[in-house]
Amino acid sequence: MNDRNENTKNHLADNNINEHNIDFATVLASSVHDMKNSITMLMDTVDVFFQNSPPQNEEQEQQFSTLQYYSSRVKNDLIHLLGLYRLQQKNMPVHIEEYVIEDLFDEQIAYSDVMLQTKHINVDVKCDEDATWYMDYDLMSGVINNIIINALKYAQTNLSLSFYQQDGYGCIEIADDGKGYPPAMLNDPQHYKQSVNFNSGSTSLGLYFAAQVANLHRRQDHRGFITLANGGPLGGGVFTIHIP
Amino acid sequence: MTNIDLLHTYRKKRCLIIDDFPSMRTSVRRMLTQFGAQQVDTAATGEEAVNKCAVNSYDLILSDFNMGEAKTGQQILEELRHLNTLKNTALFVMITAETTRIKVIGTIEHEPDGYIAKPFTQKVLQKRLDKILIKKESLFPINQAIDDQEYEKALELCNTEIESGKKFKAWCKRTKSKILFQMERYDEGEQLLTDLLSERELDWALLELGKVYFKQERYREADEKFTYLIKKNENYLASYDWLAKSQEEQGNLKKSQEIIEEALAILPNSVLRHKKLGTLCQKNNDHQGAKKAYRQVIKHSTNSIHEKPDNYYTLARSLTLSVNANPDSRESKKDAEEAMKIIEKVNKKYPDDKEVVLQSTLMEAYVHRSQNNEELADAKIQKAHKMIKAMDDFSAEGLIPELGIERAKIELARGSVDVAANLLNYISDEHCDNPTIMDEIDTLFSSGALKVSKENTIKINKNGIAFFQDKNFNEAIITFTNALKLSPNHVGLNLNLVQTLLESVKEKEADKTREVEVLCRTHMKRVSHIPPNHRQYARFRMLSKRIDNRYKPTSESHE
Repeated sequence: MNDRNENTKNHLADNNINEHNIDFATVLASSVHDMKNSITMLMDTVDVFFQNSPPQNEEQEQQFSTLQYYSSRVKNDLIHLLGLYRLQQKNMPVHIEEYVIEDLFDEQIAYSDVMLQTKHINVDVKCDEDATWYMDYDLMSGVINNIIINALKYAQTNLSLSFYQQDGYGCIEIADDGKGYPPAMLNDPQHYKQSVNFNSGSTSLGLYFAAQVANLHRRQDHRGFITLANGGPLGGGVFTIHIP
Repeated sequence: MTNIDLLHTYRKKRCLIIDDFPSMRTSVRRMLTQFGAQQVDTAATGEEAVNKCAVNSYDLILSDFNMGEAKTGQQILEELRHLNTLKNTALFVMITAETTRIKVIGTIEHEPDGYIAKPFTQKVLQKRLDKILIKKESLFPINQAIDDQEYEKALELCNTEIESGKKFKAWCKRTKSKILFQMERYDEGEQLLTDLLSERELDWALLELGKVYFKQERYREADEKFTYLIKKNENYLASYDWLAKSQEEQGNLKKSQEIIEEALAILPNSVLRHKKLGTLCQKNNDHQGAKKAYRQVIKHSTNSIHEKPDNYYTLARSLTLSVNANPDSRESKKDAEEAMKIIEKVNKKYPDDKEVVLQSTLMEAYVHRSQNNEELADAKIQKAHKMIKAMDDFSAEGLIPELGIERAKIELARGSVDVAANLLNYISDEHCDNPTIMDEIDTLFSSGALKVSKENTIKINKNGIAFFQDKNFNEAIITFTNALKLSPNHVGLNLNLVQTLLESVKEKEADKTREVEVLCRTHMKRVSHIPPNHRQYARFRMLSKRIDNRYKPTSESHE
């Protein structure tokens, strides 16, 4: 409690005074915050634009889909960046409470609505309306959104979100009917750190973040983890996050 | 409820957005308009929001939590509830930035109906609002029962919801533990919480268990929980408040002060924490700290329900105490000057308040005395003497002890022995831990000038309570009424009388109820000034509600 990290704002106020002594990491963290707000504004504008001027042809549908995909991707990248920075600073408080799973699903589907409609993808939600589980809602939202957006890129016509309990873990499964994960990724999803490849884009960073978030969820001796598989209910990639 | 129903609901709803950023206000306003709302107002500050709520009756309020130096969304919510300007069907949704939510939860009894983390899009806002609306409607019977203090019924409803495994079971478990705490059924609460915690470690349950341990005077175990929570999440402010409370109870006042200081470093605009800090500093003889804390109280309570003359007197008092402690220091002259300026300020602020003018005069005498200006002090006492003669009643509640003693001396001099005795009894009750004050009171009592009147307020009050417990309501009413003649503004006495009246009316004929209603309302009005942190505030609210519930049809027909 004594070695508390000051919040970002205070750091900036102190450090900006002396230009020779700018703490670049905190400046970056604060800029990332601003970028995240800005990109959300942009995403909201895309939503409204889509609602008020629906696409007239396939090409316009494609453009809307691209707009949402890339803005979501930037947002998720920023969330990962901020999250990993916090993890590294050991300043990532986890606040676990019991939440309604359907609420989590509904909100994340709402974030991806433009892509779902323009790509004509059908979402199948398999979850008891009263099902609840224990998690840090904000962290989990970040993980689920990233996985959905990624699955939507590869899905053909179907996406499924489901929740079930298994051996004391709550499992959220996101499956698509795309071509599935490359074999190399299926081996060991807990250790994406080694395989973060800056040439392959953000996918691995997203999975690394997901694995870290899962790992922050603990109950007695149990820790959360993620699994990747191909096949599943829709024949494509299957991402599952297991939370104790 | 279908989505179409919900859209229809929003169309009719009157909405208010509170945010200090214009772009945020515009953006949320557009979102609400897009999904059907036709009446959307905005406010840039808490003050503006409170004013708008006084004029309009809103169905939905969306408020940012963090508004820089100004009032937080939480403070706005507390004020609205305190001022009774929120309908109990209104939704209050708190907009939080990530990781700030923990600063809100568990710190106060009033929780918002829901939260949404920034940033969000319109679609997500709508989803969240729909859920909050449905939740509020589903849980309305439980909340209603809690508001009416029908705790058994509320517990039963919670149990049904938990057993059915419905989606609000988590909320019900939490609420159940809070009700048990409220009812002081600590052993049951402990059982419930340890059972829950053996399954899973939940922060709220750890906090509640710590609170239960505290009440059971198991301080070591309580401290363990609070300390653990703070270590786990440094922003969990409720844990700081309880840890400080526990340390204070154990006599570790220095430690308690440090903990409150840490909480204030995280969220610097909490009036109640600054006030608490001031009290602790004073007890620790940290005059510098006390002065700072009370200056902050004035700063952060401006234009809020916490703004009151007392804030000025506590600061003036702490400045004077600082002078008395170090009369020869360089700062002492400056402190005395500041104290006089503070008195000037409060006089300007409340020019028509006789009580304020009197208090200020007494305070001036006190400051003059600290400067050894006995002549000036005596002149002020003379002036106060005249004022007291012209006044018929006064309240000892929350009086600054030094001023109360000054006043008791004046009452003695003019022969009002009973009034002086009551006043001193009251002060000695409230400040029994302050040796300087107790010494002075002892001196007065032993000087012979004061014969302790046997039937002082406190004793009469105790008798009244005994009658009440024996269900001898008539005797209780007579006793409380007599006691109130001596201390008309005593909060506990007024509430005791109201409660007795409400109980007694069950056994009387219906045609007398109007008379009882008028009496109840008169006595409630006398104590309506008490702030939410007052010991009797919860009871005051409960009784207000009971009166409103019982007399609704009559009072409306009389309007």
